[in-house]
Parts: sequence; C-alpha cells; structure tokens
Amino acid sequence: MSATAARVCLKSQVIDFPRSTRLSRIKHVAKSICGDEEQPPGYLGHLSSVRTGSREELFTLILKSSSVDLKKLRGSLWSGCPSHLRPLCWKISLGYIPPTFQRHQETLLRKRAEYHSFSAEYFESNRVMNADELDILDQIQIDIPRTDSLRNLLHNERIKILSPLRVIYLFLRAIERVLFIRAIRNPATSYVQGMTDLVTPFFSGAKTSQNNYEVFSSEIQSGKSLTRANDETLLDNVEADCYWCLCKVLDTVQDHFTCSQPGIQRVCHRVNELVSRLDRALFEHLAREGVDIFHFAFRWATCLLLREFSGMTSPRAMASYNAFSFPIFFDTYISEGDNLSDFLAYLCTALLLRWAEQLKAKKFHDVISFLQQPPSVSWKTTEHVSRPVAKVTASASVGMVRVVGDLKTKLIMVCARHSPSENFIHFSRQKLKYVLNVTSKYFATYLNMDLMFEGLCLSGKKLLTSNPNSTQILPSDIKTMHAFP
Amino acid sequence: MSKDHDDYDYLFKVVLIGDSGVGKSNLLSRFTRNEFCSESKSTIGVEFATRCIEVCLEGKTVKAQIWDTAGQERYRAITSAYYRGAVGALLVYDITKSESYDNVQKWLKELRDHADSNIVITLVGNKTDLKHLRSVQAESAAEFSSIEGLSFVETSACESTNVDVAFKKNLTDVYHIISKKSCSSAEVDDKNGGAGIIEVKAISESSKKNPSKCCNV
Ligand SMILES: Nc1nc2c(ncn2[C@@H]2O[C@H](COP(=O)(O)OP(=O)(O)O)[C@@H](O)[C@H]2O)c(=O)[nH]1
Ligand SMILES: [Mg+2]
Repeated sequence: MSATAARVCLKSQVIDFPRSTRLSRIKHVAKSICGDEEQPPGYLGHLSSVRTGSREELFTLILKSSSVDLKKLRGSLWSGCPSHLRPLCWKISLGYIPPTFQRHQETLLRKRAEYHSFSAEYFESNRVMNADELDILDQIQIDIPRTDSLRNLLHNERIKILSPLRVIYLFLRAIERVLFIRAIRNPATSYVQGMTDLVTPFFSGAKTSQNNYEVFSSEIQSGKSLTRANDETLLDNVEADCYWCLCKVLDTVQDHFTCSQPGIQRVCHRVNELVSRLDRALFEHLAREGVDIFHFAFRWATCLLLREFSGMTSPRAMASYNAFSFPIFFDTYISEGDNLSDFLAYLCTALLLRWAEQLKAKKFHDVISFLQQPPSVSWKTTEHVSRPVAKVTASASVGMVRVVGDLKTKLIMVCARHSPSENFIHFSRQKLKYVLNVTSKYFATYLNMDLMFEGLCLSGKKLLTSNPNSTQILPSDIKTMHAFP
Repeated sequence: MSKDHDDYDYLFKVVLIGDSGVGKSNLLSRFTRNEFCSESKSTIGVEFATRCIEVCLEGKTVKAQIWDTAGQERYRAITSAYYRGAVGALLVYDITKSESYDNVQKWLKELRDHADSNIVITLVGNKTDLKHLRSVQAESAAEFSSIEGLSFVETSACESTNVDVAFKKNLTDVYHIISKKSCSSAEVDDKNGGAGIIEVKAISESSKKNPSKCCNV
C-alpha cells in the first residue's frame, strides 16, 4: 500500500478530528474529569483535540499514521511523552504491537490469550510446583511488599477510590504472576531481586487528569480505566500487556540478570572508563579512596535507577497533577531499545559528574553513603531547573531535562546519545564549553524547555556528525550552534 | 549513641549474611542509625554502613564497616567477593522460619569457601518479638553454635533487643583474636579501608583462597 493510499484509508476509517484548539483540549479535560463523556470512537479518539505546536500534537501526528514511523516515535519518546499516550507509545516502541494500526487488535488478542494460557498452566490449582519454583515464588512474595515503587503505586488515590483491599489484592497477585511466569519461562535469568522494582512502571497508573487515571494499557481497550470500571478482565489485560512489555525490556538487558550478571559488570566498567576520561580528578579521587564503581552502580544498574529517582514515583509526585509526572526517564529507556544498557552507563556517568565536587571532598565511607542515598532520591520532576523556568515547565512538557538537571549533564547525555562511543569520548572540552556558553544564553530566554532540549540535541548531534574527531571549533560549528532554534 | 568521627583504633570489616527476609538490613539500620523500617527495601547487591564502638576496658575504638548483602541465591556469585578481607560475619536467620535456620549450614559453607578462615562468626536468631510464631528453639541453635564454634545471640531488630549485643560480641571477639595474635601489626590502614580490606595482618595473610572466581549456578 502506498503512503497516500494508507493515509486515505486511515482517514475514512477512524479519524474525524476537529480542528485542534486549546479550548477544545480544556473542554476535553473538563469532560473527562466529570467522567460522563462519551468515548470517541477508536482508540485515537482522545487525541482528537490538541493544542497546535504542542508535544501532544507531535505525538498525535506520529500516532495518527496508519503505520507509525518507529524512528520518529522513538525519537520523540526519548524526551518524554504525554501520559495518556504512554501506553500506546510504549507498546509500539517496544515492538509488542506492530506499527501498523490495523493489526493492533489482532496482536493484542493473540498475545493476551497466550499469556493467559501460561498463567492458567502455571497456576492451575492442582499443579504441584517443584522446589525451584517454590523458591522463586517465595522470593517474589518476600520482595513485593519491600518494593517502594510498588507500594507507592498502590497508595495512589486511584486505588483508594474503589474498594481498596480487593484491588490491592488483585494487583499484587497480578504482579506476582507476571514475575513468576517470566522467571519460569526464562531460566537463564530466572527471577533476580530488583525485578520487582522494574515491573512497577508497567503497572503504574498514568494520571491523565485530575480524577482520571488510566492503568497502563487500559486505554487501548476502549478508553475504560480502572476507576470507572472495576473490571477484572480489564486488569487481566493489563497484566498480560505488562508481562509482554516487561519481557521486551528485560530481553534488551538480558545479561544484566544472567549468572554473575555480566551486563551489570559491563555497565560499571563503562562508567568507570567514562569517568576516567571526562573527569580525571574525580576518577583519581575515587581510586585513591578505594571506591569501586561496583559498590553502588550495581544497584543503580540493576534497578535502572528507579530507586535513585524514587522521588518521582512517590505518592506525592504522582498525585500532583502533571501529565508528565511519571518517571520520565522510563520513556527514554523504552525509546533507547537495545541501547538501554549503554544509555544507562551514560546516565550513571552524568550523575557522578553532576556530584563530582561533592564527591571529591569525601572519604571512602562518605562517598559510599552518599551514593547509596544520592540527592536525586528527593528530586521531584521540576526541581533543579531554575525558578522562572520551573514555573513554566510545571505545565509544559519537558523531557530528560528535568530529570538530570544542569546543562552539563544534559549535554553529556545528548552527546552520548548521538555519537558513537569513541566520538563521545573525544568530544573536546573546548567544544563542550562553547556549547554550554551558547546554550546557557538561550536558557535564560527560552520558556519552552522542550524546544530548548531538542535544540540541544540537534546541535550536539550536528556538531558531532559534522567533524567528530576534530577538537577545534570550526566556523561550521559556530553556525550550527547559532542555528539553534 | 556512638561517636562517629575518624579517630578509631581499628577498622573491622564485617559482613551480614543469611537468607533473604530474615532482617539483615534492619539489624544494620538498627545498629548504625537506630532505625527500623517494617517496609524496608530489598537489598540489591551489597549495601554498606559504619559505626564506631568501644570494644574493651582499655577503651579501644573500633570502626565497624558493615557490608549488608542480598540474600538471594542468585546474588551469591557477586556477594561472595565481598567476604574477602572481612574479619567478622553475622550469620542471621529468622526464628519464625525454620528454612532460614536450615540454610545456616549452607551459609557456613559459603563463608568457609570464600572468606578468610579466621573469620569470626556470630549466629543471630532474629525476630524474637514474634514469640507466637517461633519455630526455631534457642536451645538447639545454641547447641549448634557451640559445636560449630560460633557465638550465638537472639535479637529483635524491631524491638531493638540485643542488636548492639550481637554486633559488639562479634567485634569484641575479633578484637581479642587480633590483639592476641599480632602484638604489633594490627594497624589501621585508613587508605586501604576504602578497598574494604582491613589490613590486620594476622588475619588477612592466612589461607588465601580464590574468592573472586566463583559462580555457583
Ligand atoms: N517482627 C519483626 N520483623 C522484622 C524484624 N527484623 C526484620 N523484620 C521484617 O522482616 C522483613 C525483612 O527484613 P529485611 O531487613 O529487609 O531482611 P533482609 O532481606 O535480611 O535484609 C521486613 O519486613 C522487616 O520489617 C524483627 O526483628 N521483628
Ligand atoms: Mg536486606
């Protein structure tokens, strides 16, 4: 089917969008708060009214297409996506459902049925579990109540609204089954402590407006959410979707969890190497104090930093209305696909560099204590962004920017993302400084952090692709920098 | 509580081991910060805390550098690397869970395979506050300990009973061995403290196994 034909076909099929205006968006939100709104037909229905030029529009445009452009989707997802589109974006990005819209329902039906057949098989009442299986289940049951993010999820108001105990029970059982089935079906990794943390983002409620929560995956169903319909089959579908999506992510970091966890060791190694090149003084200090990256980065990498960014999954953070309050870095992870492990190393490095000065003043014991409970645990989404900008960003859409804070770390991540590792490493200090100067000028005047961030990505990328190995700033670089949006 | 600045006479590395969920992390937080959290997070890999205490009448100060490990079987390949250089170990079980007590044998083997042979081991039966659920009798654990040459304490991290006693017992035993064994060489090497290795010659030079190369899966 040609591109035009696809578009035409799509048009006739689902899309009957009114012209997007701010007003209709507000109305839409207002209606959904009241909860009596008729759901527009088709799951793209809720995309019908969006503000022009917004991030939401960006995603709408991408998702509208009958066959989603994966590259574009991942690119945009990288800096965060609107909550209510998250389930769909994640599913497509992860390859759980195909980019072709027509095949979504069919795929979902098949995959959900497949999961339920596993579930029926493993949890059949008269099936006797062997000792290994019992051990795994036992460990999962010990760990689930000890998982902060899961508890936060369950403390969420969404759950309180309806019969709390029943829902909590259903949730916990569902999470238990997901982890257990994954472990049994993947003997190479089995269950490893820390996975309970990783399952949370998939089960998380994405708050789409004041009182309207949608559990991951529910929206695709028909716009129903758990608040409105305490529907156990809905939760069944959520469970199946979470299972497959969790598997997709775990598959990309499979060797983080195999025997002796070589993947984690690789991440730690990489962080060590990056720090040694980017901040020699810090590297030497840590070496002198006998700090091994492994001491703390092991946990950082195992739980994908969820514990270090726990402030963003706290009940308070999740309760404050903000379409982007969900741990945004998870959007980034999903969009990284197979590069997740590398990206994790960059992110860990960025954090260490951010705290470099503090760390340099500490001795072994204090370094470890600091990094076991780093300041990032209290970061809320909008912290670490200067005050005036914070005001604006509270309502605007911002990606990684908010998470990591200062320009330097952001830039490192941008560079890390857009360049083959060697280029990144050779990215000269001089260039870095220059980029910082230019961007900080814009920082002051830019109200839309998102645009700024994309500009940053763009210029970082251009700079690196134009002449990756040169340490000189060339006239073309200067042009690139000033072409910054 | 304890003084926690940097004037101490000895730096001892101690590991906390035992099945998952027996209360290792809570014993550590009770001992180092006087905190108990009924919803504590599971330990991933290893975690770490320190506290200084006085160990004997001469007023010697020991800084205990305590490494808390994940209990899951899967993590042993990694955590066993941390046994190296440890002079003391608290082997914890849950008095309400007999499997955790049955596994004590496994953990002892683990220590004998990977730690220095002179490591001082204290067996700790935790959660004594749950009297009605007790399934491991103190007598049998005490008897087992004396056969194996371990010291034995029952604790409750929750009610803060005997927690300090358990740690102090272990540290004092270590201190006595060290002060007896080496009249001269038990020096604090602060620089090396970072590597998690306590250069107490009497202990670290004995029976070097090869703890880093191991994988039990
Ligand atoms: N009643 C009681 N519960 C305890 C005690 N110590 C730990 N717990 C609980 O046991 C569970 C596991 O504790 P944790 O310290 O995480 O165990 P670890 O896996 O050995 O580190 C937690 O829910 C604790 O609250 C205790 O002394 N009494
Ligand atoms: Mg623990």
